Parts: sequence; structure tokens; C-alpha cells
Amino acid sequence: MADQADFSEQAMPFADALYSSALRMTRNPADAEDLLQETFLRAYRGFGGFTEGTNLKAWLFRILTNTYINRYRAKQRRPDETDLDEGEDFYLYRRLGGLEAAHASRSAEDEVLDLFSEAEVKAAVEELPEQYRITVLLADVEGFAYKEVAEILDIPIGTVMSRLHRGRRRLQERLYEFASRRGLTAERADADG
Amino acid sequence: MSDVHNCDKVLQRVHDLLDGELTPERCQQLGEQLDGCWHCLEVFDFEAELKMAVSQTCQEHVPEDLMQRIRSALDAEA
Repeated sequence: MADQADFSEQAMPFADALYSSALRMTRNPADAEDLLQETFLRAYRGFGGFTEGTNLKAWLFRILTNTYINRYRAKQRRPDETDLDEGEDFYLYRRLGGLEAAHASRSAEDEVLDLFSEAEVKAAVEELPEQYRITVLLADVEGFAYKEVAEILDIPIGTVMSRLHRGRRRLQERLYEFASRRGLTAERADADG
Repeated sequence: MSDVHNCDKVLQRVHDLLDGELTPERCQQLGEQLDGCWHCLEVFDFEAELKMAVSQTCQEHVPEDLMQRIRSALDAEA
């Protein structure tokens, strides 16, 4: 049994992470603020049921995703249930890999960030169909293991892996569209043609 | 395990490695295979950078006024 008096001290360090996901889920700062506040209230009320020593971050994210799915998704006129195809692996690399030489001066760790603006990366994430978006957020932004994502979303591990694979692939397609629009890929396309 | 390097086989496991889903033994094995193939290593680096870029870009901070509203709401519950 967890003591409610300890709640703030233990849970507040996860506020930024929860808010980051809330923003990408709702795609709207006002809804994200409401979602975060409601998540903390629900978590506080249910904290007696949290087993000390188990994964508090995963427990909080389960409340966040359940609250989002039950409450905020109901507000949408058309629930986003799009299915994505499997598709080829390494979609973006296969198309942008040849850009290495053209960007020899950029620092190794920031290469991809240099190719795309923050707004483009955020847009690519936010445009993913909901079930893929939430899975990608949990695995790639929050770093949860497949097993943890499966527990948070109450789905089989195989479904987590499939959604991740397809969601990442769609994200790469979207980023490629942004790059194409800016003419970043023209040289590569010529070489391929 | 075959000694012959097979890019497709190695690259199938790239995301398992990036996602921390392999045992330490498989991590080391795959790391050695990546180190031994320029193409596989380049793909791995690209996917690693993209994953990091998505993660970094999506990190946000809770606005201070929201934090205060949440603290007040929790105090009201206590």
C-alpha cells in the first residue's frame, strides 16, 4: 500500500514526461492541461492501490492513456481508427542515406535533427493515427520496454511491436514528404532515376 | 549462427537492439556484426539518430501556472 502523503514527492517528477505525452495525444495545449490535471487527481485518489516498489512511471502512464482514451477521445467526432500497412523497412534511410556527403559538416549526433525542424518532427508524430501515435510515444519518447507498453495499453506484446513498426514507418514517410517539399531529396531522386 | 554476414538478418534486429529488447549476449553479438559492416552500421546510426530526434523534440515542460493548479487541486483533496 502506498501512502497518499508521499504521492506528490513520488509522482511529480514524472509531470514533464506525462505532459509531453498529453500534448502529443490531445494535440491541443488546453486539453493537455486538463488531461494532466485529471491524471494527477485520479492517480492521487487511486494511489492506495499502487504497490510500492513497482513501476510508478508505468502506473501513471496507464492512468494518463486510460483517461485520454475514455474522456478526450469521446469528444472527437470521428475516432481515428486508421490502419497502417506493414511497408518496407528503413524507408527514410533508403531515401536520405545518400545525403551524408552533402552534410559532412554537421555534428554526428544532430544529423537527423538538422534535416528536419522541430515543428516537422512534432507534426509527423501528431499526424499518426491515434493507436500508433500512443504506442510510438510510449516506446520512443518515454523509453518504455515492449512489455511495459503492453501493460500500459492492455494489449499483447505482438500488437505493440506491430504498431511500433507501422507507426515508425508512417512517421518516416511523413518526414520524407517534408524533406521532399523543401527540395532536400532532389539530388537523390536524380541519382536514382 | 552462420559466419557469413547477412545484412538483412542483422538489420531485422536493429530496432530490437535500439529498443533495449535484446539480452546482453545478443547485444554484444549484434554490436560486433554491426561493427563489421559499414552499411549495417550506417543504417543503425540513422535509426538511432531518428529515435533520439523524436524523443528530444517531444520533451516538454509543464507550465508553472499549471503545476501550481495541480498542486492546489491535490491539496484540496488531502
